[in-house]
Amino acid sequence: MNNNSKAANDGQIIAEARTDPAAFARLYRRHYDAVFRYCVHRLFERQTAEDVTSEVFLSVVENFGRFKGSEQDFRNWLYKIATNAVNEHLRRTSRQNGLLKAACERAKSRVVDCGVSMDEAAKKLPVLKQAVLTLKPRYQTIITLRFFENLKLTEIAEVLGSSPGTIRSQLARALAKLRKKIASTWQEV
Amino acid sequence: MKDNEKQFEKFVRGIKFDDAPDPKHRDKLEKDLLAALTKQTRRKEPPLTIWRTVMKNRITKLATAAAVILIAVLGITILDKSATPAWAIEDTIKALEHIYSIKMSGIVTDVNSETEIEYVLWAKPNEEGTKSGELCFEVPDQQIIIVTQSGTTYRYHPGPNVVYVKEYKDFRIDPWLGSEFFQRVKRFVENWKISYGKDEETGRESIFATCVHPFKAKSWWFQFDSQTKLPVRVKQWTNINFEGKPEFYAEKIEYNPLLPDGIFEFEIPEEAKVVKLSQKLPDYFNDPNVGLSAEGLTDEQACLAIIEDYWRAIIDGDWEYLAQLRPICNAENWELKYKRNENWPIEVLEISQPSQEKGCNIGPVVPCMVKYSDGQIKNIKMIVKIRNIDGNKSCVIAGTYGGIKDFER
Repeated sequence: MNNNSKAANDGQIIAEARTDPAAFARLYRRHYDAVFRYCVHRLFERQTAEDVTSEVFLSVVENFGRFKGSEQDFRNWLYKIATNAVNEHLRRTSRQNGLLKAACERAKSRVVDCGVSMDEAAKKLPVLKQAVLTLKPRYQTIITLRFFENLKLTEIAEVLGSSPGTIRSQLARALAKLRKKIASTWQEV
Repeated sequence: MKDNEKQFEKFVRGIKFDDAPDPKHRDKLEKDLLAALTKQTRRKEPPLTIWRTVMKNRITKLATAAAVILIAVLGITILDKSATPAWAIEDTIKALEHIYSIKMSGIVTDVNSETEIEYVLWAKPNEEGTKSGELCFEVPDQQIIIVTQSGTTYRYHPGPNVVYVKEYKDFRIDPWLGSEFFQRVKRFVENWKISYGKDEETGRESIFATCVHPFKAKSWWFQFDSQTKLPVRVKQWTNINFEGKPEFYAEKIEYNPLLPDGIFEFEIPEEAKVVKLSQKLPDYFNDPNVGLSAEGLTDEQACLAIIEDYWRAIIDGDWEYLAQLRPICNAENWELKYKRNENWPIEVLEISQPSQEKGCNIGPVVPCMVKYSDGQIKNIKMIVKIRNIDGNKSCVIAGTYGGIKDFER
């Protein structure tokens, strides 16, 4: 979704998608991957991420009529909906605790899902999961958007309806908390 | 990029999620979406839950509990603690527990122009005993203000024969001159000086007390009746030296008076011109740069999301985020509030489902049960304002509803 030319064409597609289901389908296909990836980076589980991705796009269908923005706005709008959907999912199902527990168990047994090979990266993943999922949802969002979706601070600020300065300080706080939680692993870097 | 960011980037580098989308899911979802899209275009209007429909209708009425407070001169946010004359205050607090209405007369002074207004008022407290509920305020020969049980405010000007009608309370005694007010006085106000004497008119034995609140730059003079322990006269200055005319003077206070029939009911006089006024809402209600995005969430979900984040921010001391969610002040002032307040929320025990409260037309109310640093548990109802600004759905915390109450099992 970071592709500028892709974004530039969204404006036209968005206009067409309001009346033409085929255009809507094209718009959907252009953004599906990014939304799914964001969800899986937040939730650490494929199946759950797919469910939440479905919720996100169903919400898009329901609310598309009142969306007034253009290309860049549409991407940010998707991230807003996805962020709310992920947070709502965590809240609704108390998923956080379950995920944490699962992450701990996997860390102990060294069993790795998510298709990561048994190298150093594989060792880090459960640690990262455990640490990230203990952060408050807003910090999780900022970390994911910044380091996994590679959004700029100004873009994150737009998604979260905040100022870049606030996001900057919240990112610093989130990282400080993460650093404490994964101190030993972090130092190995 | 700062060191921490670089290091974290290095840490996550190489971690590979299995984040490749599954084409099967993508295709299936596409079919579902197109089916939903087709179904939706067949409908004339998108479906709304009953709850949301009700709320939208109510929101159009737009009322706020935080609007104009005209008799807020008694309002003190007292922060300092000091020795207090417990003997007098405790008796007064107890005596005020059995007060259900008052009649008060005196003078309000505009300290800038020194304009004086004589008044007489009758009032009952609200259900919580924190502010006035029904009220009738008369300025002889000038205007009459009546707040009805339904919360409508009528302001009648007999001269031009005009009635201004507001569908909300814009006039009240806040805080109510009751037990809670004196509990706060007992706790925070300092430099008490007590003397004894007789009432200048009745000759009844009386207790005279003065005290100041340095931080808020206010000073008070109270006269309590020795027998009933109730305050019978009150003066308040906007300085700590009792200088000049008091901005508020209650020359005579009667408790549980016989209320004239229909005193809190207002009938529009014949041939009077009726002007309906809408409420001016705080600017931040429509500021897209504050609050929390509610895209894709139902109103109920949005309420719970912002309230949860709000308490997290309060407890974690995330002042910037707090100022975004509840922009009654900036981050620095939120921090200042925290530093000046001895008692602060430390744990959220329960957040209940949002609901509509009679008398709150701003938005849904979310009951919360919160534990404070002194160990006490409080019930606090938070009001959430749901907005739709330029097609973007979001919400912001509008305030509290009904004050903070001790938890009762």
